[in-house]
Amino acid sequence: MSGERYAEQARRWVRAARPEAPPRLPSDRHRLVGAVQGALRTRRRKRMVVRSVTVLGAAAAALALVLTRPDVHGHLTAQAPAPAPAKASTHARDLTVVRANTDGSSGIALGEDVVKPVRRGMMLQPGIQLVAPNAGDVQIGTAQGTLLTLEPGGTLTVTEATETQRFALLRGAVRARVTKLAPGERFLINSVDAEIEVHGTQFRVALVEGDAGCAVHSTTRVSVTEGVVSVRSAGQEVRLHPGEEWPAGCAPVRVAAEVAKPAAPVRIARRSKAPGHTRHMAAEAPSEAPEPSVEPATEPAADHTTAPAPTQPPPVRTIALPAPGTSAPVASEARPPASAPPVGPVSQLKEQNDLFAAAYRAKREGRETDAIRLLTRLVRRFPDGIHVESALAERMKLLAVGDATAGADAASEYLSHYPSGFARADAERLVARSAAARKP
Amino acid sequence: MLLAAVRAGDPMVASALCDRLWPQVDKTIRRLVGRRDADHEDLAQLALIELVSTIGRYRGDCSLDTWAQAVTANVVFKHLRRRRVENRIFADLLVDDDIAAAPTHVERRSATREILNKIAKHLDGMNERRAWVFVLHDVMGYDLREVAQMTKASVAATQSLLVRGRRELHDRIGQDPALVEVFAKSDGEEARS
Repeated sequence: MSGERYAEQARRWVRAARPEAPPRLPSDRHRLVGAVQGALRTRRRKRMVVRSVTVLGAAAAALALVLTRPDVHGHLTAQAPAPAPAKASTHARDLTVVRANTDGSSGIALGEDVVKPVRRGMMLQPGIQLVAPNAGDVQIGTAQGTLLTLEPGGTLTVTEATETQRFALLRGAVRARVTKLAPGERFLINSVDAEIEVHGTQFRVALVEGDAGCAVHSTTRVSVTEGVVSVRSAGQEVRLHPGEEWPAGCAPVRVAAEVAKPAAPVRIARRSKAPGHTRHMAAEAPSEAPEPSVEPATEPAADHTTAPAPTQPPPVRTIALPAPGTSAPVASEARPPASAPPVGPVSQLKEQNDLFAAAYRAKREGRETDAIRLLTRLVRRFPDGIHVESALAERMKLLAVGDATAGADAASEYLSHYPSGFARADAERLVARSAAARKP
Repeated sequence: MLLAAVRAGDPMVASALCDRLWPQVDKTIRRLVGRRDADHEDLAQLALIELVSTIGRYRGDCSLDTWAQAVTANVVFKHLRRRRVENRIFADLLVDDDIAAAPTHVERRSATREILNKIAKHLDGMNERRAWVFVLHDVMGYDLREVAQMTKASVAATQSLLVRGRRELHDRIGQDPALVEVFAKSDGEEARS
């Protein structure tokens, strides 16, 4: 403290000489209050500017985000005015038509009381049914990047458009490219007899005519290009990987144009408005399941809506649609179509499915030996079964992991049965690798 | 309610805000520039405007009065730096006319003015920040946290400035024999009494 002694004395002198001055009031209070009012108004203006800039910034960010998505770029730049990108951001799951023909053959959209041509930018609410023209496809998508291409002649219903996006394929084929799903989000396509759930992938679902040579009497065909797809049918679930098709062992999926070829001029009737057809349907399909049915039409219904004019006079077909407000016209349980041949022995099919599912489960859980054993049992027990090709392919891959020679032998076995099968490339590679290893 | 309205920029609360903050603004200005400074009203107005425009930074960490003092002090410091071209900040602050009017003996008042002038001269010659921290803390009685807010420094830095300021002032006065003699005489009188 001695080092600060003089400072302490200076403090005492100054404090003693400067007693606390009495407070004083402003001489011009009015001027003071006016100045503060001005400052408050300035503050309010600045706050409004900051808010506006924030909102505009958010909108600009949303616009930039949306415009950098190549799949929706064309649609949004062509259709949406300035505020639309913000809306796209907040309603990223909203479904809109991304591409449709502009020559009048764009197809039609059927809502509860709506029948109108499909136009680019059209919002699609649940319940809307899209009918693609025979001469072109229709693309629908979300701002998230999911894109569905309804192939020519196809009919698709938007069943659900919330966190769960669900569609019902009534006719033709649809290709889907699904962006990565957030937790809680689902993407499903129902067909007449199957439910296909997506886990971020590219795949194709098609409805085909009955295939007598196919062990599974399903008119649905699924082929996976990328990612993993679950197909649930007949109480079973099968996971499809790239290059795989469902049902396995059936004829390859034909392109939609071929499938839809005979249906060029499509007549569409609602059950509620076409009692004749309703009765006819009820006679053919006793259950009340609202399945779509394709059948030759003997006479046009009074309220039929005619699709774009055909270029040739192919046979007229009529699609009986579910009444407005009814649920999705498909069920996840397999139900043979009215015109399908009788279903084969279910117990045998169930056993095949069980074995196949058990093998896949063992593989997923890392029990490769069990998986190989189950697949081998499946192939031996049901040499003409529906899962044989997939089982042979999977067995070949599993064997190749631990023993290249065994894998090559399994690959040769696969190629001998399925020289043009979906796993041909893998099989040939395994055989070639084993042969190269054997060379001195 | 008042703070929320000020934050929202409601001009209707201007009068209430002035009434609420005027005492602290006035007191701080009087302490820092003297009771008869010609710029007192202008400084008060500037301080109130600054309080409105920076109300968003007030998080309730201290009382509204303390925060008003700190903001006002900053306004005053900025004003003083612009106004004073010569180093007479503390001379004007410490030696005002009220001392001359104090009810004491004329010789005593004259001696006091001379001593205060000498002290102020030493303060004006010091590092400005150290001098201000010394005056604000030791002379005016603000605590370290308040001084730190007024000078926009951390409490630790303020403490350091205070210690170094006291030492610097002590050294300066130690080199002023006249002032040392006055202090020594004052010490002797205190000891005798």
